[in-house]
Amino acid sequence: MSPIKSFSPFIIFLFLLMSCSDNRTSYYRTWQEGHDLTDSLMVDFYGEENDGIEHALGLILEAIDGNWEKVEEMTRGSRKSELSAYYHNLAMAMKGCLADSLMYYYQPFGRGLFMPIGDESTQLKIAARSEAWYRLGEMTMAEHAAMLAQSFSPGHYGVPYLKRLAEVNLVTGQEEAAMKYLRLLSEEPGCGKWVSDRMPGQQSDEVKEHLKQMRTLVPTQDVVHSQGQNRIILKNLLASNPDNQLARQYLLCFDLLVKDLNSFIQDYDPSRDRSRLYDEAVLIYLALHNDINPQSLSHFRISNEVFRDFNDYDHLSVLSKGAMAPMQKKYGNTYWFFYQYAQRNTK
Amino acid sequence: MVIPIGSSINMLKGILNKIAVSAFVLWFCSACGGATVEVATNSDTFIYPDYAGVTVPVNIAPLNFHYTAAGIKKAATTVRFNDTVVEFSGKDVVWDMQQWKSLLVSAVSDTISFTSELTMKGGGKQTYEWEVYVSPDKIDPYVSYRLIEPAYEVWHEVEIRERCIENFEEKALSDWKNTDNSCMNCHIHSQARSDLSMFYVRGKKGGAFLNRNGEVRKLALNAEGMVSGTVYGEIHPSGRYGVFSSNVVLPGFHALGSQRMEVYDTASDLVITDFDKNELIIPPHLSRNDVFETFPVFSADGKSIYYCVADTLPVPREVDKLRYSLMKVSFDPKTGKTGSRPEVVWDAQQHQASICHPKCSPDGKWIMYTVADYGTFPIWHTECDLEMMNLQTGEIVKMKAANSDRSDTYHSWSSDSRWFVFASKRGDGKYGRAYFCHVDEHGNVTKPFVLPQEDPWLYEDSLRSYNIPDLSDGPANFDAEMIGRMVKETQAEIFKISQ
Repeated sequence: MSPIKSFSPFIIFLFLLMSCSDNRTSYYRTWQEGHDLTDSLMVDFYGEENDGIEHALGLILEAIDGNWEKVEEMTRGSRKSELSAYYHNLAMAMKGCLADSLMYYYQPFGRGLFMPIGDESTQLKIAARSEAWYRLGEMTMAEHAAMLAQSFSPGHYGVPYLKRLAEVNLVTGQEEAAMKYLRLLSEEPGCGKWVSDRMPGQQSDEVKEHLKQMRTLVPTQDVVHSQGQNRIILKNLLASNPDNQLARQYLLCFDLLVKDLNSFIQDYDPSRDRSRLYDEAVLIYLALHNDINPQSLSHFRISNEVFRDFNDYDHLSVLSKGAMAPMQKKYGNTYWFFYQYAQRNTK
Repeated sequence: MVIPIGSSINMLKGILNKIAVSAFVLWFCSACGGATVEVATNSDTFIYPDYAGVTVPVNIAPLNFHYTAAGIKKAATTVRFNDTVVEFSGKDVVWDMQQWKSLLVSAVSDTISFTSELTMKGGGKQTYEWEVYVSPDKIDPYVSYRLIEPAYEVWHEVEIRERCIENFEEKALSDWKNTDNSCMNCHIHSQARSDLSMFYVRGKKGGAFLNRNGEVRKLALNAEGMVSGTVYGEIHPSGRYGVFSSNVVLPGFHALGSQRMEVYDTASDLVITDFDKNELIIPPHLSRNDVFETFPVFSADGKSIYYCVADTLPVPREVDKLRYSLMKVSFDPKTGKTGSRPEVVWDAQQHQASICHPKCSPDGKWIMYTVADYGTFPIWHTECDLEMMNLQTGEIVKMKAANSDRSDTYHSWSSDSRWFVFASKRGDGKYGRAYFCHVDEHGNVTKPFVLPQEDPWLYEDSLRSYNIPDLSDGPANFDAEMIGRMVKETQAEIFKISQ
């Protein structure tokens, strides 16, 4: 009998005792156990305050497991954090409602969809980068991001990244690499079932279905791109699989978050992409090109209500002489407000 | 010390809380991992590392290995040579150093026999008979490499290490701890000479570190008029000159997962460095705007330079059409001047492929290089293979025994031209490891074997690549602390372009 099992009654007793007073998940401690770190080291390594670490670790772990309801719940509210925005947007996109929710949350421009890597990147932001790429089906970038997360981890080792690396290689059919990661994970406490469900030849039905679904998203045509060419990557994903709904939402919302309306109009298809957000963006584009006329409004299927609000926004803007507060009160959740007032934090 | 009652209660709660949380984690882990999973490794070979049928030098470190199959109940290994019999029991076979050394010396120019008998948990038995040939040709006893995660263009905590191939001793030649986490590029030797080598530490306080004549110098091999600082290259056998490319290197990513990364140049020229005069010589005919020149090396006698060249193309859009040929141009070691008429040695159009990383054997007989479908930096190209050309006859040796279905590249010769080491991603396809091959006088190459490790599981457990392995005939006369001090305290010597 292992020492762990011989302690079971005592452990269960303690667990029950403590669970009466505090039953919330402690991602901080779970992670800390995995990395064997002290509190001060955690701050040093992750570059975040403890409260932020707990929240960010929770988001990373829940997202890797695909618990989008939990991710949404954890990002509710008005946390002005790039990580929260990144995971909130991803959770919304997984539910198919990224566009409708986009302006109801803090948006740090393109960084709300893709975590860039740079000198200012904290360990947790690096750790988060892989998730969006994986869900989109971009396995090269997902693997790259997971390897970077591994590199920048304490001890250059982290179970969440090993899981991601194993998953990526299972999706792309590179079983030898997947087996390397699965073997390492098999020696980690708590990963036995996760590994056995994914062993090639013995995969659970749920895992088989997940892999099958992910393989439909993987690009079938090649393009060489540099880091940060997100639009090229998304367009390539869509060229390979036009039904990749996540990529479609990300492409359009990325255009809008970086205020690239010319690209947005190129990418936008009013017959399939329906959201008030898109209508609002189209109206700005048409106004900038002096092209607001019945034919254009009809072509882009702009509703009377949105058009009426746009005129009201314009009127209010003139009346308030550019003051932000009155505009925010009435139209703070519109793309018009974001387009006019949101500014990059260049610090 | 007096502890207030409130604090002691809080402390007690804290202790209880920690005990409980730890206990919960243990219980939770135990519950989740109830059924342990045994994962087989490297299913295409019954042992890992795969030492079956390899040829090893008489001075190699013990070939420790383990059996790969899942479900082994009992493993017995019997090693025989003449009257010597050594037996091991268990999945891991780890040699006693003295026992191994004695065996190799007695078996030189002969074959050691191995019998592996595996009893499986289901009751079945598997028996393997295999051999290792002990070559009398000693290999240079040191190899250096960069240890780095294969995370492409971003680094964190990299180091250049030197390993004694005769045992398991390893030391850092330069590391992140002493250089403020600087990036560093690989350590190259001139014809495997430990007294003539060079590597780079990047960053503001970095430079090219030249180890020559028992002295280490920090050099700034960069000047206005060059497309960049020096990148790839080699030191002349005399030690006075170097030949380098200066490249604007960009990394790109493939959307298709099989190749992952494409590193390409948007500009590259050649430059000769005179380490005695601190001068940079830029021959106009080797720094043309209409072609990319790169990967220059000296011939064994130092009287020629080999390099790769391709017509410029818009990259990365047409990177799949970028094919480099191998060229040769004369070099005068007295003046540092190059000839004006480069000749084609290996034509990319004729071969419909691209060549990179040529290196001449110190005996002058061979030039070995990497061939890929296209491009200049094929470490993620699964099709890229090693090849060599007989410089006397022009005959090309395909080296099938050495190559794999993964990237095989970045080789270096031993000083006697009988061994070479190269980086291969065979196996998992992600992590480069140092493999060694023997070459006989006719160009016959043996099955490669990976650098032996004391822990037979090291490669499976490691998440770092062994980058650009380079052989040397002795240990380096510097270490990471010395390099760290030079990075921080020594100004790099300035080099000027020779008029």
